[in-house]
Amino acid sequence: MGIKKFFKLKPPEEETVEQNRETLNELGYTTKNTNRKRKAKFSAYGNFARDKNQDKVYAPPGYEPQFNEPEQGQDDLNKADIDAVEPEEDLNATANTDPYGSSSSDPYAARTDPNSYSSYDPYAQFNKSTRTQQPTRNGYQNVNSFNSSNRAANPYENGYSSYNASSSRTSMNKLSSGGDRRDPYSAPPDPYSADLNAAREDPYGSGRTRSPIKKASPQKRMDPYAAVTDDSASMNLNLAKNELYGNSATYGSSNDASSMNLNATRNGNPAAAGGANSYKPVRHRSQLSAASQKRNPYENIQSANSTPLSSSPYAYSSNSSTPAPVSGSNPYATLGADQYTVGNAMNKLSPRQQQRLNPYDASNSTPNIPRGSDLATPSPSPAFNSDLNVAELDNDDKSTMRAEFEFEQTYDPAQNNETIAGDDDGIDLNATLSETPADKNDYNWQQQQLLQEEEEQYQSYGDGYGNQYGDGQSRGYKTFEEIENEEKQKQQQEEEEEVDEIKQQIKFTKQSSVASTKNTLKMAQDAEMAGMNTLGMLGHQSEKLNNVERNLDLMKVQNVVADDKVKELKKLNRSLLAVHVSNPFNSKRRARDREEQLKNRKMEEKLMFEETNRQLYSSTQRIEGALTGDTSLNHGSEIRERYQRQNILEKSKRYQFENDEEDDEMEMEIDRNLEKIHQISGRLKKLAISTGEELESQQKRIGRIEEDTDNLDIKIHMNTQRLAGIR
Amino acid sequence: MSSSVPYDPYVPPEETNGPESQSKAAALKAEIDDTVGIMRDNINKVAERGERLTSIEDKADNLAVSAQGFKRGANRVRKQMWWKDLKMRACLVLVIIILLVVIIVPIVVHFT
Repeated sequence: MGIKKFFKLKPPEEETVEQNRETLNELGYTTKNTNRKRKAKFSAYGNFARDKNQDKVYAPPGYEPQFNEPEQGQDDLNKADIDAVEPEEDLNATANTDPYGSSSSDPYAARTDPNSYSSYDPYAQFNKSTRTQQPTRNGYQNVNSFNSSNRAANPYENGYSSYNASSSRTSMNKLSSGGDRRDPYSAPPDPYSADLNAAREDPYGSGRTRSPIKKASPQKRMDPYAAVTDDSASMNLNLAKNELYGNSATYGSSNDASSMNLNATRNGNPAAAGGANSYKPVRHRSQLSAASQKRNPYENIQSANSTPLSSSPYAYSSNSSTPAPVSGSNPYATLGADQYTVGNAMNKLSPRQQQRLNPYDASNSTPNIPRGSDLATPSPSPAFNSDLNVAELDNDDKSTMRAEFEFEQTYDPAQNNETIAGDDDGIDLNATLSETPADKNDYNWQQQQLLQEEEEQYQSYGDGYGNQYGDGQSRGYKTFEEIENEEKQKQQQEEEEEVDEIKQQIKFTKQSSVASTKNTLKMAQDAEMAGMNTLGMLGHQSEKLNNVERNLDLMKVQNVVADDKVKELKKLNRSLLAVHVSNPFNSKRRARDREEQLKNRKMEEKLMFEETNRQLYSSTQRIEGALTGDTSLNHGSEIRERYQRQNILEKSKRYQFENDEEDDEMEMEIDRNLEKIHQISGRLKKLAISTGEELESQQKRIGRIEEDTDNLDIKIHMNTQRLAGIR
Repeated sequence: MSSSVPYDPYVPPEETNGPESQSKAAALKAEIDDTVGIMRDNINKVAERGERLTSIEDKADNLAVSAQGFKRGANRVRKQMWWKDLKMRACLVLVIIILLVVIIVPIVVHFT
């Protein structure tokens, strides 16, 4: 249009939001109050949710959006640490060329011992020590210093030749700055070197070097006599017994296996020559009895050693009478055997070994024949009687061997020395030599036994007597009472074993239940945490919903205003000729109506906003109550628990057997955990309920928002249409 | 070993203790089951809520679009009205001028 351009006519610019708001306020319409900052209680949960939220995008491989952010920060931090440490190292030693020195400076520096400055850098310390020492001592000193450094800071490397080499290399490097500090560093290595000689200082080194001193198996290696006795089952089993009583089934079994073979090869020859021929039926019997008594833990060894009967005092006596087979018959050797290997060992026995059994039986049986016939049911054949006796003797053996074992624990060193000494004299003459210590031990055991039990006293005394004098006829003191006692003891022992087993089971179950309660507690805490987070996020969303509601209310109000304006505009936009005059007679009433209408609208507005705020308030209250009610509960329980310890222990007595401190602690822990789980489950329920309520209310609000939005949409649409109709 | 009284310290406590702990555990379990049920409801509610929120999002979009349309319409009407106003004013000015001319010209002609 020419005129428009000519006159540069243009409609005024649209007012900005602020201006519009001001004008609306001037006109008395409700507008959004931007100055007021609402207190958002759960905004942190909004951030949390935003962090947790990850927009999942499904993409074929190769099309994934890249979100790689190089994490420079941590690298820089690490480097900073290195930088902080390395100057120190440079001062100490120029060993940076050494790969170990440079690379390992950080971790070791981190775990340095504050007491020893030298241990700050183990390699540096090492260098110092080597520098101070003479070159001839260098290698040794290297080891020392290295061990010391190990103990101080470095748990990972011990005794590698490469490190020694590197350290020696670093020691070659002369440092001008380090020269001053040599003295303080040189001091520490000396004790370490001394300690190294003793093999005490380095935990790892000690573990290796000290073991030969401590443990029996290495002792065999170190001791030449032990090496000799390695072959003989008696020594080996002695050691095994000393170390491992009752628990190390595998060790005992392995020892048995090896020693058995050796014994079989070595000892079997004379036995086979002497006893096998004449006393065959007896042997068979004895084997059967031994096999039947598998439950006796101590007898197994006998079988394994292929001298099963030798452990019995009667066997000793027979040994003394028949020196040849006695060689492997050290009773204590048999003691270490495992209960479960008995049967196997018996089954595995080679015929030769079985023959080895014979001589004892034979010796036993021959003198016993008259007594056996007297005591037990008389049998026609003497051999059979002897068999019975043997069986009885075996029973005796079980009981007495246990006693022997107990005794032997106290007398270990002496016995070992004796056996070693005996073996020292001659390896091949092992049989005869080992006999004497066995007898000695037996005698000692007898003395001990004398003090212990009266009933067995006579028996053992007789046995010892028989042993010492080589008299097989001292046997036969066994009466039925004694046998019964043996039986009782055997039963008792079995019961004790069962009780021990049950105890172990109890302990295991208890530990597992502690662990499971811990797990449950952890999971419950996790669940509670998750529930609280959920509730917090719900609170945040409730705030957001409140925001939406308020804005919607404003929209409604202003839409009403817009509606009015549109109507007015439409009215004014009628034809020019139309008369715009209202009825002048009811103008006052119209004004009053209008005022009333305005008032009503305002009140409606107020009600709407109040309702919205009330909803927000109630939801906030609910969530806060659910979130904060927990901590107070927690404190109460802690206080209460202090006073309930006694009560809990009293209650848990039912689950305890011979409870000790540890047991009590476990019970306490179980109860504590259960209590906590109970509390947490209660809180979880509360959380769940309040979450449900919150969800319910939000559901309603969302529904209202939905409705309002729909209505508003329609109204606005109508207004737009009306406006469009205005020409 | 006098076996007149059997050594069995466990039997009586077990009997008395069993139901108690059982009931405790059962109470705990019932509580947890309750909670689980409530949480199941909650999950359903949340799912429904999510649905509704999505629909609200849609509706809010629609509302925004229609509000935008209303705004545009209002703006258009405003401009339209302004032009109308301008035209009206121009017409009025023109009419007044014409009127003036009509009045003044005869008078001038009359007196001259």
